[in-house]
Amino acid sequence: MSRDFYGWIATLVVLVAVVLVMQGQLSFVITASLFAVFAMSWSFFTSFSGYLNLGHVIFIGLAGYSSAILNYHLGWPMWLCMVLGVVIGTGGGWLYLYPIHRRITGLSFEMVSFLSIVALSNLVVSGLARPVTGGDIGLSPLDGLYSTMPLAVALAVLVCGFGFWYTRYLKSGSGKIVDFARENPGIVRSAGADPHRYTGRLLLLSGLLASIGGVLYVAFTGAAVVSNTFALGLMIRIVVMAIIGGRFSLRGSILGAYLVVFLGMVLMPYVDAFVQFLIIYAIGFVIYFVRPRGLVSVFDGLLERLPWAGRPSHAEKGL
Amino acid sequence: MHDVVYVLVYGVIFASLYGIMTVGFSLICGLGGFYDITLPAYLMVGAFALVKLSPYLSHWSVVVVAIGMGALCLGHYYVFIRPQRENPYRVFLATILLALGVESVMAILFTYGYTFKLSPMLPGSVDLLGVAVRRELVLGGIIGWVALFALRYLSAHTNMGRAIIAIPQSTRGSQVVGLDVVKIQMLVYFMGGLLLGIGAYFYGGYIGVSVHMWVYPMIIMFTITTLGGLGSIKGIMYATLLVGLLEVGVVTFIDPRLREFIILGVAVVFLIYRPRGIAGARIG
Repeated sequence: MSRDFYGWIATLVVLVAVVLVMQGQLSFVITASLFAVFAMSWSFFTSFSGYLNLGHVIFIGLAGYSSAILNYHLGWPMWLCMVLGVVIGTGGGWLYLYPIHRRITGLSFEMVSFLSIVALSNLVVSGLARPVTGGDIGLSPLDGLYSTMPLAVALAVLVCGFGFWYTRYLKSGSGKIVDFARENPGIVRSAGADPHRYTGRLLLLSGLLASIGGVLYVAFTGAAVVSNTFALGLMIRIVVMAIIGGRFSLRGSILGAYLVVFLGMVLMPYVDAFVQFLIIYAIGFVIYFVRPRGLVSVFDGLLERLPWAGRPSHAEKGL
Repeated sequence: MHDVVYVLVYGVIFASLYGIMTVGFSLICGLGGFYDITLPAYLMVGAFALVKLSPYLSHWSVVVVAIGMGALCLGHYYVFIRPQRENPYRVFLATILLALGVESVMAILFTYGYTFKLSPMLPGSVDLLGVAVRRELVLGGIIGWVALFALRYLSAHTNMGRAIIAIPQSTRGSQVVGLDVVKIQMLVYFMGGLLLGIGAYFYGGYIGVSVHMWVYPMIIMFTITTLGGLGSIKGIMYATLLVGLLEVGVVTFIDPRLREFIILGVAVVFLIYRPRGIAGARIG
């Protein structure tokens, strides 16, 4: 078994330990795991492809809303709606973002993906879409998921399973091409390969996990509204989580998601939501400048000093 | 027929308002090669400042706020942008966080979800080609177009203006011939702040002042910058007219809530097929 495998098993053990320790606050643990799914999937594409994708919630929103629409309007069983939601979310989000990422590069891609969220969220609540999406009120109630121990453990397994798969992918031939394409797309083109084809695959894999997270988040909250799907605020929270934990590292994104959700839990009795957001944004802003590789770099530095620790792989070190 | 005249009248007026809000943003993007997302959020700050100051200072509040916004943008440039201006991605992400932080502060200071009204300088309305338009908007439209034409004239006939146009085309080349990029960026930030302050009054006065009011102008600013082309005042003037007419047309004939989607769609099409916009430098 590889070093990566044991690394992700260790991560799983830590996450399950968190579930066991915090049995009284399972809803927070589940929320943290769902945000870890979002942050890790965002980080996977953004950090390794070199495209700063700020339209990641398109996957989450399409998947979440699709599953909710099927369950709410047609009364189909939730598990089937979730499966179809993942297919629609992954496919639809990819079909929207892939051509844009092919044709528009640099900051304009970031800006277009960022503003797409605003436009899509307005489209969802528009009079045109209201009969289907429920407008501002959204779709509720849905046949949701409950805060249970098996769900919390299953999410930890999902996070670590995808983490392991992503790490293996980044070390595969395709992953290495993506690495080259990020540094110098011209080299990849001159070797006869299309760099967008490989970054497109990365986008697809990233979208798959985000869509799974999207349907689970909607099912867990029991409602599909803009605030838990297409919202600009949700996107920024995901970005801030990745920045705090370490956006160039898959485990860093998980760490960031847990820290931000638990910080929110601690602050909740004392301050209102906007003060919480302000504190979280401020922490993200400071970490972005003081420690651009995030808090996980502190642990990485310590681990590298251990006598038995080998040199971390390129994928683990990130960019 | 009346609807078409309505679209033309309001389209031209809104175009000028969007023009004065965007010109600073576009020139800053052109000069620095980055998007500063905080500027639309500062528009909201200016509008809230007007809400607070207008009961005491009446019409002078616009002057005070415009100068204050200029100073705010200058300080913003000096503290947040200047140290990292060589890295556009860093600026982009940092300014998004800053903009959201500004929104949170405003939501804490002012009631979230409540829309404040600004008392108009010129109450009442006038009849333009059979369409009733608020006097205030007409004034905003005139000021906006005068400001745009004045900037166009200055950019063509002064050394500073020529420098503002030259830098986006080649920053290195401009430095080689002795242009001080930082100084010119500071000037543009100050000027952009002044115009944002004026824009905050007319835009906030029309739609109302709320915590969310900066998001739509952000789309407008990006679209106009994309359509017009970076660093081109002539391009901004054409683009602003196009966006103004398109927006009012969509709101009148289709669905108000689809306006963001359609306007952004136009920006995306331009980015794909004509990245340099109507008359500017290539973006990205």
